[in-house]
Amino acid sequence: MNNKIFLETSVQIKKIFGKERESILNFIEDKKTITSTYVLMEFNRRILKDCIYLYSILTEEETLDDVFGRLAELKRYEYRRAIICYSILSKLSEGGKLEKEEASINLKMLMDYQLKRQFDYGIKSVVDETKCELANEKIKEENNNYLLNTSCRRGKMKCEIEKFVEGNKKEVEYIMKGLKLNEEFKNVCNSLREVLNDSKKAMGKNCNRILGDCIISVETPKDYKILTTDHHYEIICKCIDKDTLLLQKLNL
Amino acid sequence: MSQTTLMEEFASGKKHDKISIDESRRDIIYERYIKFRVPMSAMGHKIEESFQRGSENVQLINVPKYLNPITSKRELKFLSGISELQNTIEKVKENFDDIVDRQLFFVEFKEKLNDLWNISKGREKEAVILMKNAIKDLKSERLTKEKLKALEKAIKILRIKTDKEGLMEIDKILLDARIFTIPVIDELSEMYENE
Repeated sequence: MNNKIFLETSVQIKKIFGKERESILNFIEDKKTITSTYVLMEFNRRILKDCIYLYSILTEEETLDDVFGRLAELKRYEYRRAIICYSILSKLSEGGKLEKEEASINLKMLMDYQLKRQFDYGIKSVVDETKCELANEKIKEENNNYLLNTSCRRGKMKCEIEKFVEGNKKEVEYIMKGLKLNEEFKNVCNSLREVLNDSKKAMGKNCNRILGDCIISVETPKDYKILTTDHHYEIICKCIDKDTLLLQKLNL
Repeated sequence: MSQTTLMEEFASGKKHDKISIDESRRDIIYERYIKFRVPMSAMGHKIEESFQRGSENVQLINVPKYLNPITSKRELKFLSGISELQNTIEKVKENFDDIVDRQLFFVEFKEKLNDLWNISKGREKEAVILMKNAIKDLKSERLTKEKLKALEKAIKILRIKTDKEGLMEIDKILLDARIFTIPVIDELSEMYENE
């Protein structure tokens, strides 16, 4: 079996929080395992950002019950974020059994060093094709709260996504052609078309929100397999003749 | 057998003399337990000076210079709590092959860690929580000698540094032995899909 593996965001999260994490670590241990700065940016924008949000509520509210109450209310506005934050807090507080102080310390440790350290764990090198500035953003502690910039504003951030698109135009075109008949990828194809017409449009929402899976597929070196839980990668990578490994199929 | 220092013997609470053979098998090592007193605020070199005044013809080697001064009775209590943890882990090690004793001493270890939480402050609390998280789902039956060794190493670090660097070191040691300090949140990855 090819021993070159690229870990994308869903598997990075599984590697830290999944029940199969021990098997994942054992699986990648003796392989040339890599990831990318773009994956780190996605990871931070998801899990780290939600931890920051949760910590802010924990600091604001008196008791854990109050925090759970706030999250219940959040369901009305942002259902998915509420469920994610509820799951995190529930586990970090052992189902609300712990004191608020202990849950806060658990969350603080996650943000301070555990997430980043465990993201890097088992990784032999990090690809930096897009030179994403957001990936280098450091979490800051201010007035007992944490801050992290995760929003990409076109023209305001420094990165090489434009150059990346220009340099990989053929692959981007193949993906667009391969996906154009697939209804599930309608938005992705519209963005790809826009970016191919004007590579300046790659920065911002297109890169940050819509084209993530495509960017990761393209930036993965040719001889590496993308380890993922997301079946979309199978479809995208097929267009550019790259291999994927679905975690679910590995029977770890 | 590797050469342990008197200081480490003292720190781990083993109050007895010890005879061993060094790795080259050329020397017999006689380790003598000596009780000596130092002011609570003593730093590493002060400990060394006091020790040399209080003992004759004994060479003190490898005294940790980075020991922080103990400034309060609470800190002393915390350190002695860690010594108790070390002793209990030693008991788990000694009785590893007896599944019943292993269980009993491992539970004792978990209880002592809970006691330590009650007397810890600031960064110490983080260190104790890290250890508590590590052993929460670790059951005695599934405990391996490798995992036990990692716990032993982690406590040793806990004794000398509870700063961020020390915590990161502990986290790494535990993870290398596949002891996890973060709870499983299994569906998290799926929840983020399509975001």
